[in-house]
Amino acid sequence: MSTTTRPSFRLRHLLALLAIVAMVGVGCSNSDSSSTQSGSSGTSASSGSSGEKAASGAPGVTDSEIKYAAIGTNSNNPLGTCVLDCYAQGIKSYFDWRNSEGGVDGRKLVLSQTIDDELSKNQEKALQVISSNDAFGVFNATQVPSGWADLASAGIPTYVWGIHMPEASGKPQIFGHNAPVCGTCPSRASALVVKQAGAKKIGALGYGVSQNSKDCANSVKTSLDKYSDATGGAEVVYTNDSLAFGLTNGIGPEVTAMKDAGVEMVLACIDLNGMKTLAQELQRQGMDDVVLYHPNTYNQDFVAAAGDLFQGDYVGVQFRPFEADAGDSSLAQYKEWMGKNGYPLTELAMVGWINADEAYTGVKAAGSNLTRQGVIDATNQLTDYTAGGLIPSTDWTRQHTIQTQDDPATHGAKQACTSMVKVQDGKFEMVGDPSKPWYCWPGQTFDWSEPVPTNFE
Amino acid sequence: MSSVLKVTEAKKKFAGIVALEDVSIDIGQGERVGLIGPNGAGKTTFFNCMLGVLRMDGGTVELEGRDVTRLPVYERARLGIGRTFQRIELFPESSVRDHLLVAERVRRRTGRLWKDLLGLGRPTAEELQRADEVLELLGLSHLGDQPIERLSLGQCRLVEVGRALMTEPKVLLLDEPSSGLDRAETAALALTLKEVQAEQGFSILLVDHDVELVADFTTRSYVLDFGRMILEGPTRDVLASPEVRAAYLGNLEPTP
Amino acid sequence: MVMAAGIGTDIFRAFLQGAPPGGVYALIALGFVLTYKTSGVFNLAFGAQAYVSAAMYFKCRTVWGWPILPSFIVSVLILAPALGLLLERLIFRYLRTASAVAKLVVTIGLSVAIPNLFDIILNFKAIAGRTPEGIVSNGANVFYDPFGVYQFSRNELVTMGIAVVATLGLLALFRFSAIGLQMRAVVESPRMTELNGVAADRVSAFAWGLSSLFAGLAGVLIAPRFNTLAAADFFYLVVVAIAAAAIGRLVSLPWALVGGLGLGVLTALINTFLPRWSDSQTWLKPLQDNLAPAVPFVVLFITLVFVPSLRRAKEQGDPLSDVDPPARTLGAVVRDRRATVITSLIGFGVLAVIALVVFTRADQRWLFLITQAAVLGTIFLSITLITGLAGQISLCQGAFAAIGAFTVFQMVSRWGTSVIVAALAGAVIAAVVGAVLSLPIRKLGGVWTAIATLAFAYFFDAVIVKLPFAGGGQASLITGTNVPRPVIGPFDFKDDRAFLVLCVIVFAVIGVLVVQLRAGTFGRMWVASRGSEVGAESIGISPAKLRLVAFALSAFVAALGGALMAMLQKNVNYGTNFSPFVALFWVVLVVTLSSRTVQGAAMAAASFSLFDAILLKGAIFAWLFRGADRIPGFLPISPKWVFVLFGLGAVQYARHPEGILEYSKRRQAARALERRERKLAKEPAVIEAPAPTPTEEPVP
Repeated sequence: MSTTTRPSFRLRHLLALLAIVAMVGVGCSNSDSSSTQSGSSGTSASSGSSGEKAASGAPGVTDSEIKYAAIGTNSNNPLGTCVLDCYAQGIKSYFDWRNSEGGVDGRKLVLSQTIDDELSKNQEKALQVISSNDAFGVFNATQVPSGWADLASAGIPTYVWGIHMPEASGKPQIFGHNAPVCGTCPSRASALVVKQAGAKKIGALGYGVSQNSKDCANSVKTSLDKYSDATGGAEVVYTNDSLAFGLTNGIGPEVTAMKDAGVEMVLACIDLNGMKTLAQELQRQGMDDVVLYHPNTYNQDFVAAAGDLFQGDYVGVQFRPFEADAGDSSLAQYKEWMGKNGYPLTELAMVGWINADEAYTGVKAAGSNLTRQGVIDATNQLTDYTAGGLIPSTDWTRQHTIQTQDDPATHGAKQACTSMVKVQDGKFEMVGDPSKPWYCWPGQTFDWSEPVPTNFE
Repeated sequence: MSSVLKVTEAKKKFAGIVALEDVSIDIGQGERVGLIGPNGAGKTTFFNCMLGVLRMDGGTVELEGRDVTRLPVYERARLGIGRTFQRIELFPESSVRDHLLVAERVRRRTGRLWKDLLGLGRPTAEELQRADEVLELLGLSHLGDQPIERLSLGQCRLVEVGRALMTEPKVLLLDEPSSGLDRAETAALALTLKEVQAEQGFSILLVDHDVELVADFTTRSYVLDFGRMILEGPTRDVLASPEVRAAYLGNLEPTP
Repeated sequence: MVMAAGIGTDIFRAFLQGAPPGGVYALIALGFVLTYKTSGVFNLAFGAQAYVSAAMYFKCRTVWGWPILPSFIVSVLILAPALGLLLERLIFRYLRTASAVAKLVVTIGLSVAIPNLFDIILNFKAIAGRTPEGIVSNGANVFYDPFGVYQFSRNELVTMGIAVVATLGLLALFRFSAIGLQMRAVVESPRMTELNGVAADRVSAFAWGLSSLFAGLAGVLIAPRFNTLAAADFFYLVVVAIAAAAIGRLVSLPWALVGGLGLGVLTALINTFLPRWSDSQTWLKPLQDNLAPAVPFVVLFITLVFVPSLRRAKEQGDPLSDVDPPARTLGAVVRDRRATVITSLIGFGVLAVIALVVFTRADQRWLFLITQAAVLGTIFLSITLITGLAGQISLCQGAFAAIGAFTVFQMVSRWGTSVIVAALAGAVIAAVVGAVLSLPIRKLGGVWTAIATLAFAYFFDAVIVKLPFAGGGQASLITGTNVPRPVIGPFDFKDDRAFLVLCVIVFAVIGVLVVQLRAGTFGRMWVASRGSEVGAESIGISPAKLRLVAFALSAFVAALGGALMAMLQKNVNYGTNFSPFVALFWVVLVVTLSSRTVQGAAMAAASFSLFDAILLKGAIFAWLFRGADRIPGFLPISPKWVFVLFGLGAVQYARHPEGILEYSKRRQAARALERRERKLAKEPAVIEAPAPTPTEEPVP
């Protein structure tokens, strides 16, 4: 009995000792310039006593390299989609391309850190990158953008997967793959897709638990009401903005109600798993002909694995679809350089590519003023940025702030555009002219006009 | 003699089975009264009804003339019904003195949340003194700091008594206090209780199977059988009566 | 008449539409009741066990492409019972005399640990859109329409069929077979069963194997409903199923079946008719918005409050329960004054060193993590209050914390209130909510109190969070749920170091208050009530009032902590900070380490915040060896290990409800006492009975 006394005595004191060592270590770690997070290739020799300032004096910049960090969601992703890995693939491919041309002013672009934010640690990882001060800019593709505010206030050029409007809005340091858009404003794209499908009776769905999703569903209604002339009288005959997230109890009654209302097309503001559940239920209730519009399902594997569930559905794409003609755009280079590494062409990889282009363009535009603020300022002077023809023309002098319903002009894009594909036999097909993959409207008003097929370069 | 605890025509049914039928008792000031009866007679049920653990279907319970029938257990305790338990219900994480102190604090009603938060909730000198007095009374002074798990059953019973005493009960209900004790311990307990009662003046209701204890300790007894009070009177007479013998032993004549 | 026929068909259709999800709930409810009947354990880890089999089946069938039968055999017939037997052999066999609440906490820990361990071992990752397949070929694509009103897929028919068959089969098992009777007997009184010549251990093993097999079967049948397989969904289903099981008072299999189907049907009915009615009666709209997703939790809560036999479930009355030594209760601790002072001084010394180093050297990221630990410490003190002091398991601390955070967000963004004032207001609101919550559940025993709080947590998550006065509304949409740092007089807490000081001060103050409380009236009354509620009542203590105060205080402290967390992150971030699953893990952490002391709360907070960064990512190695490249190659270890380690640590709770820290302290105190008494025994003048040394249970 008394022989068991030893271990617990030791345990407590060991813990205390460990704590002391740890804390002393924390203190000493900051006088040492090597970073404490998962390092990877490309850690160049430090020349200063803190940070890795070199010739240009900016963090992460040396004579031969400009280093970037990427933070994103890998583990714990509830949607099960490939986020960080695919995003990093896009960035790397882009960097490979530019580096093969000599980089920028003799410096190569390097993605030196890829950090998994484990869904809930975006802010911590952002602070980690800020503190270690050895990345010039940060790429960020995450489900929970808790670290964006910190990156912005630290003055770091931050390139993001632009699906979180509130966190991106109003911050000149944050560049999304798309400029932030107004979720509640009338959407001519909704009217267009309804017109394309030739549907007259529409259903709108959204999750109750997400304000975003709710408002999206309701804005479908307001949009189609506003543009009813353009669509030949299409109207929303069923709205449900309080679906249970995850649809644990199925979506049977809602689909029955849509059937009773004669719904021909559904615009749903829900995630891709929910879309699949919806499609399965529609099929079950004999509503195979109902066309769906998917805002979030530009995922080849997902659609291919779904058999004929999504046949004839429309999918919104936030950039130049892979199925469009490359033309003079960088889509050709994207395919080429992704192919060289054997990476699959995915949505997140394209987002990464576009973000990487934003980074490169900024550095190039900054010229000799190669500082973080310099790059941010230079990027914010671009009025016609298209990422090499991959996104609609973006005016970064105005579009960091979201336009509002009352004032579409001040912060609206010159052209408000949408691009979509259609699902045929498990594959995507371009809707409209493949050489002019966008339908565009004047961006500083919400009035209807005929959309103009447009190409950007 | 004024009534301290009076139960009038208590009724209790459990899913159709009548557990108590018009059971009444009346305990006077300073009395020691017994309640006996065979197993299944309804003693425990009646006990629990008096205390408020069970809600009666009919009848009233009065404490010093005040109707407490609708009051919950802890309210009755505050008004002056104390009890001990057949299976010890002490607080395993508290020392002997702690039991008495918390009972005293509750009795005084001086406990306040804000006082606690300001650090004014610790036992006061007065409370400690009173607790020590009671410990002395019960012969437990040397055990004051001991955790419960080191005490014998007899000592635990005494602690329960002490805890109940701190609430300044008007009547103390003892639930089979001899259970688990041998004759010597039972006798010691009885002696102590008599002494304490003599000093403090409360009434006692004793429920027990130990006939010797009941005979020695109580002056008057009630007999319960099949949910009915079948007899009441001076303990000696009650214990000798043929009805009681029949209730405990049955109606067969002893074989010659 | 046509109208009536229309409505009639609609009702019938709603019944049919509710049947498939209802079948799923019923299946889990059945499994839950089965486990409870055969092992006496309230198994919250049932969902985790189901998930493991579902994931294994997915791996075999979808990833490796095996045919149905071998996949089924491996995942349901082999893996599931094996897991159950392992749990019984290693854990539950030794917990037979533990309290129901203790066993509940163990299953909470397991529900966190098991899925993560499985994911680590099999390197399992969900694949978006690869819908798991069922156990019949083409189960999702072939439909049958028995009534001409609504089609069922093969998978669904199989699931519902198995639910019904299983109910009948299990009923027959319990009623007619020897083993069925034995299983129930062992739950009631293992010793008595052994006296009858039945090996209780073997029966208990069989029971666990059977109920785990059922869990595996349920998992595999349920999985096709999810387009992406995730453990959290299974836990959610368990909470729903408890509502169904509660309707049958946890012991009735037919009622579990009916309850599960009923829940599915009820939800379908609500989703069918409420939207229709709310079109014409707009006052119903809020109900429709908010009730439908919360149906199971509302049903659960109402069942708990109004089903009388769930209140104060009487002790089983095992006639031979006194044969085994009683579950070790904690005696009063007699601590050596001097030793306490010395250890306190050492503790403060260590803290001072840490503080010095942190303030001079830590960078933003470490400041963030350490401040997070301080804030969590405050939140965890709320668990110390409700669990350590008042002895209740509360699984809704996340909701209370969120109330604080949301209040700050709302008051500051709407009215520009001072941040500190808003935080205090949030704490008061939470206290009121906590007090109100405690009232209807005041008569429930320990386990059901925990379940009621779980129901509230999920209700909060499904309904309250998105309301405009909480986390929803236009403000949150346009700028997010942003929260600024406070400004107190000349101090602007935008500075991270200053804010850390503030958080530490708050933690210290609350810690002191908790200690004061513990030694004061309420603390001692809680100790009494924890020790013996009837004993406490007998001296005039009102258990209901104690609970109310405990919940109110606990909610107050949690909300304060939640407000600080929002200030730290400058955003409420409800989903990652305060969701029910996160709050569950908090409880696991705190009770494992020590729910009784402030130190336990602090250690738990430090673990949550720093364990991953320091140990799993190898920062400690980087510091010790002065270089990031010196971190050993096997690091970083997957962060899932935090959940595995602490989840399994909760298993210790049943044997040491005081927690690891307190346990080791008591051992030391007991040893010191022993030493002293041995010394005294040597002196002839003092005659003491030899003090019994505290007995140690043999380590299994």
